[in-house]
Amino acid sequence: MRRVLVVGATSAMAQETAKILAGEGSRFFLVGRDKTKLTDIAADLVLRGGKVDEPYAINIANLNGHLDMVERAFEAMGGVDVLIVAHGTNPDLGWQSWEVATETIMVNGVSAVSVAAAVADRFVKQGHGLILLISSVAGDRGKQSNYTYCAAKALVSRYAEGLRHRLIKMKSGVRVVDIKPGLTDTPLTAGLKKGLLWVGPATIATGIVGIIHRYENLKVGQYLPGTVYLPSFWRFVMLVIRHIPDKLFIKTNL
Amino acid sequence: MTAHHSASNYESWGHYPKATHRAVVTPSFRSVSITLDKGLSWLPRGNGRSYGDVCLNPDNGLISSSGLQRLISFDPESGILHAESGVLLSEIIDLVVPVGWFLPVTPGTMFVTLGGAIANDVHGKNHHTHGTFGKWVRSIDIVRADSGTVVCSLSQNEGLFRATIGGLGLTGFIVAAEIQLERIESPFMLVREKPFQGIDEFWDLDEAMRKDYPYTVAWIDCLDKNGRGIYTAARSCHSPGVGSMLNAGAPKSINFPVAPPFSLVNGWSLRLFNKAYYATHSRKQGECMTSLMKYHYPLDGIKNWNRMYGPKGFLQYQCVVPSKDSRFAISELLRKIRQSGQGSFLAVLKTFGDEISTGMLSFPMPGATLALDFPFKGASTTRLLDNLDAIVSAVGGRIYPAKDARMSAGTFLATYPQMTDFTKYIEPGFSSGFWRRVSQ
Repeated sequence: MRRVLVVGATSAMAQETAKILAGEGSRFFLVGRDKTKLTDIAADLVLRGGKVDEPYAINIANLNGHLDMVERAFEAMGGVDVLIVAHGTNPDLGWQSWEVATETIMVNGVSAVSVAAAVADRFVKQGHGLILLISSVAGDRGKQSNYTYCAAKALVSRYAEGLRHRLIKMKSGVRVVDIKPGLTDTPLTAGLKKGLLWVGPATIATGIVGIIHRYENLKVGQYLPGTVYLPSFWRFVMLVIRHIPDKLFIKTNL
Repeated sequence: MTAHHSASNYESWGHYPKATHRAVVTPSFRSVSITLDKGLSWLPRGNGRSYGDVCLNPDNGLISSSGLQRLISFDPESGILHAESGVLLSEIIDLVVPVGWFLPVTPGTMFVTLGGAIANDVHGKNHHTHGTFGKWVRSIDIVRADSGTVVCSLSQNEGLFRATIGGLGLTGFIVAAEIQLERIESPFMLVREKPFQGIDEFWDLDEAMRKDYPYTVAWIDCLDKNGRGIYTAARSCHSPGVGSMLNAGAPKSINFPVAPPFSLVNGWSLRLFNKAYYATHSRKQGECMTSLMKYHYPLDGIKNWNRMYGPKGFLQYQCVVPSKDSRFAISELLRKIRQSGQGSFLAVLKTFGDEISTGMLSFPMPGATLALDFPFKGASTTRLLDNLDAIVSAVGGRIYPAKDARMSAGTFLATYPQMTDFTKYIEPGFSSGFWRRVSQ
């Protein structure tokens, strides 16, 4: 039975992903801030065919708690096969004060790296494991509307990129994928006008489960990309956005 | 966490009427309290599968149940399921059919939410043996501004319970409900089809068939002057082998990707379809076995089938006429429709059972119900439907709110006198396009 550690389990993408994985008979260690919400989710996953250990409540900005949390997850399930890092906040668009900037970078950037680093240590010892870091297309270019969020997600993406390279060179058996969802209709993006490019969290979840399946069926020596845009058309949208000359880019309202 | 979505396109299934909303709130956990802008009126919204405007609140706000899609508990021994209101019937089916349970009452689509099924007190082809969906609801968890989450049932807050079943979402925000499921011995149905030459023959056939079959319904060719049709009766197949149930023929899915620029449903296509349908179905005799899913949800295999009516959309019309005048009234209705030359692929006729629904505003009553859809052609369509309304109210029948987009306030008050009692259970600040239309 696949053992999944979900950090940020109350996020819409994590919930939808876990629902599908539960139907395939996975075991979960759920981590989030609010115990009541985690308990609601746990009950649902059990009915859908999953096995769920006692949920773990933590304020993820508190890095000192991460090692203990990871240890508990490995202990409870006797190891972990898949780590999904899905927690995050989305600050209001516009000017980012010192408070907003530091909190955004801490929660979306540093704490995600911290969780991945703690789990990577154990995955290397274990000799296998799949690390899924949910970053964002926002990390591909800094832009005036939500630049601290962009910076935090860029940190996660660069870390994932390098960590993956390292783990491949080490022949560790541990895999890393940087997942970059595009505009997704979740509680985090409430209040934004929704256009054609938006998708629901269930669509992202289907993509994430697809990645898990591909890695589980990975043949020796087979190559799989380390960065996945969801839905995939975002690769091309961001290719364009990254290549808009600065002189033009600074005139946009992106 | 409560999400305040900007109001993108929330339509009804019939694409008529069109509406824009100013705000959509999506609570993501049932334990979380919601704050609602006092300047707007609010309407709970499920999956938007009702045809008219009971799921619309034009220029005001919607409270979406799409963040509440969790199962809470299920006892495979007793068949009692507790789930959040945004859970789709399709998810319940996926969960319970493999262990030998099914919905005791189901509408013709499984893509409705649990909350929506309760708020519209939906019925199915087995109304004469099983009543409405509301009959199988054990309790409802509903959020009201003054009292927070209230649990209501027949033994606790009975008034609110009866008002909420079939209450069109107006009595508060349903966050969860407990329902009783029904045992099935296999995921298959035995279906018997019998052609009839005219409407008189239908009544005799129905009299005989409804004694033997829990599911009955008839298709009527509304272009034929005698009212010929096909009678379909079905029962659950008692074959052993519950174990291998899950994949018993979920319909293959095809899609209407875009709305064609005009309605594909017109006089020509209707005549052709009705001839072909009658010809193919009148040849079958005896009982045939089919899967549970194919039997109950034939249209769910075609995603967005509502788009075939083109950008103007369509109107559904479903009425019920009481038993004593059924024969006369149904013939009159069919005559009016035939004369108008408008009509639908499927005119559906069924007799309801004698049971009185739990819900205060529930639609079914002892009698016969007729359902059709009409491509929306403007004034000629509304005029025809007004004429049908007149026949229905003259004999003491009524129109189904879940499918209505145009009945007058006068018709509603005359045919739902209970609305006066119901009004006192309406949550302050809650309203809908439908409700403003029929109550003012």
